[in-house]
Amino acid sequence: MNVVELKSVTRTYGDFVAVDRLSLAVREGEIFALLGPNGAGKSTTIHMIASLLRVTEGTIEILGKNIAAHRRFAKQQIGLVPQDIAIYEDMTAYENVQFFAGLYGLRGKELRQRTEEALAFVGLEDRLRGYPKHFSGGMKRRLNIACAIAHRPRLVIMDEPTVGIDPQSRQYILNAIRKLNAMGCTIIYSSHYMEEVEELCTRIAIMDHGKIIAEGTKEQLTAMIAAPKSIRVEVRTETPLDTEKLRNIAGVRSVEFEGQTLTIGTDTGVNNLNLIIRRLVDDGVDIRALDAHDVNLETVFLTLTGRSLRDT
Amino acid sequence: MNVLRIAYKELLMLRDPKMIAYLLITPVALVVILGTALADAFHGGIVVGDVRVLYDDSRAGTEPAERWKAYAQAAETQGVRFEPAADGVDGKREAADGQYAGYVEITDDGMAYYGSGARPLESRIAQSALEAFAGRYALAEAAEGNEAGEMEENRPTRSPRPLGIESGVGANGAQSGADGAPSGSGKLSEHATAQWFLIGAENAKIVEVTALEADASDRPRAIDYYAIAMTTLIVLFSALTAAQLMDAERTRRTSLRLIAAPVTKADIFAGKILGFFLMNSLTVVLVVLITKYVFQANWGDHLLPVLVVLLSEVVFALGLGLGVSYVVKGAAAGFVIMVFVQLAALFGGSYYPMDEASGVFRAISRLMPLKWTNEAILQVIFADNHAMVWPAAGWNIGLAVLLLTVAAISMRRREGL
Repeated sequence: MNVVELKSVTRTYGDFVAVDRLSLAVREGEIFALLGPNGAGKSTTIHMIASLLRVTEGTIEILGKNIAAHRRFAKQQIGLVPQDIAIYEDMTAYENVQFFAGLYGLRGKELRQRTEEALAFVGLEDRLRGYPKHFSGGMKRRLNIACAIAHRPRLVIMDEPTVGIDPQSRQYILNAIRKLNAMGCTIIYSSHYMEEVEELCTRIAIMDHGKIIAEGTKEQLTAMIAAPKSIRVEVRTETPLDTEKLRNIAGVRSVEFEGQTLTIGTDTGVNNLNLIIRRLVDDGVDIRALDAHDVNLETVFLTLTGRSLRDT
Repeated sequence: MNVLRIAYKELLMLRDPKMIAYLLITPVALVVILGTALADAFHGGIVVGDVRVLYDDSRAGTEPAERWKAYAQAAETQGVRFEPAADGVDGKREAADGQYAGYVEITDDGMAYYGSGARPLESRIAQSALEAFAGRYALAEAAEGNEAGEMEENRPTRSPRPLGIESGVGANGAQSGADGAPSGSGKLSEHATAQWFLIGAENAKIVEVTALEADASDRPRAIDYYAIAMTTLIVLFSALTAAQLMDAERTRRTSLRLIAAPVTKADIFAGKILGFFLMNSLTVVLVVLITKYVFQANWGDHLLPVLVVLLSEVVFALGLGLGVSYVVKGAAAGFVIMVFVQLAALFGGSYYPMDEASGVFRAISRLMPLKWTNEAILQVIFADNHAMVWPAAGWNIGLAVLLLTVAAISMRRREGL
């Protein structure tokens, strides 16, 4: 069944359309990614699902119930991990989780148990009485997650949960998300980090300018791209680069030159790398670095929008 | 239940040493410092202002009365102004409260002069002027018992008579004004000096000079006054904390979790208000107890009405902070509140009694919450007068309800807190 379903949802701020007639469905048990650059409308979409923002037009259903009419029910099903760390620095880790879990109706022994379980789940079982002001960034992020899962929601919404943390903590969080999903929790994961989404998510929706421009599994999305192999060349040249000559090489589908980076889309199975290198050298281009790989979501996004995921 | 949970969370702020210092240590320290440093200022200083004397002449229309009037006009050019008392004005009270240097009752038997103990120097000047008047028209003779025969005939009864005037309080001591507002010391002591000025047949004799002083036990000492003033001031300052009640949640981003949880905005609002009220009420009670039992400040024998007024002020501070924070966005809210609190403190008598304010300053003073709060408490403690308790509490709570309604409506219209 669909845990979340958006039907032509629009959100405007005056004349500005942040989310434009967006429709999507998230099935139970998925880790569903909303991928897109900053300003694409990911956070706005997530906030509408979590009832933080009102929908201008359209409907959102949680487990088949319209959130406008069943707001309390909808909120009870959701755990929110905001992009910014949302905890009380003057309360211990335990008190933070206990406070927020208590708002979902947990009481007494059950409240205590769930609080301890949530903290153990994120690896903070030995820091129950610690204050967040003494935690590292990664530990705060983990506490941020613990506060969202103590009441065992059916849907957890994570808005950029790994921003600004060290790689070790990041990996810990990603593992925790997999465990959570394995326990039956549906997850909506919003990020502009393509690598995380590729690693973690079962289905992906790429957003830009408030719309979904592509949706599917990673394989389905990469299959949309005509040039499944990408060659990225860092160059230095004092004369304008003649991209037309590169396009004429067998197997080359696309050539993009921006700054000092040349991105060439080419067919897989065609051994044209030597030809490409020779053309560049003959034209007096100084090759600084070269990377060839199969197309990824970054390439998909670039192809669909003309921009990279990291553009702001 | 969520309301109590949120309120309890607010109370946890009391664990913060900075909060304890702000709410508890600061007011106690201010009470002790100001109460000690300004102790002398509450003993009555030598201040020479306008020498104004109130009089009541029952001989209206007679030749002696006309002579008196002529003298009074002449005396004004020398800086002593004699003003006739209006009907219904209690001249002795006015003098005792320091509104006038003295009060003269002029009858066919002579002049009874009641000098103000609050203005001893001016009273002496006024007395001298009266002596000069008496001397102008007859021989003056000062004695006690020297001319017993004659004096016995003319000496009025001078047994001390307590005036039994109720209501009011003396801060220095004066609270009443010439507009006849009921206030002033609970009791007046009369200390008759043994001087009579017997003048011949002209009926211009001063037969009695009496110095009026408000009963010292009915006036606050500096420590007493500042225990009240600093407590009420710190309570009003807590409006700054109240202004941060919702704003802090937004800054910390915890507002997102609160709104995302199955909790209504009304629950959040009520929980925050309840927590703030409990936290500040607890600290107010502690400040009162500490200043009362450790520093011997006089909080009177009726703590309940005093606490009613103080707790109503806590509610007002809450309303002020929250209301302004929803009307004026961001850091500007704190600025607006700070300006208001400083003005309220100045005109409300937090730094020094504003009893002698007049004109526009007096009018502004009466509008200040700290003024009516301080006055109500002082009246309960030093005049055993509870009449101002419910009006003061009513104004505090009424204004708070108005401001909280503005905040609630504004919050309801917003997305998020």
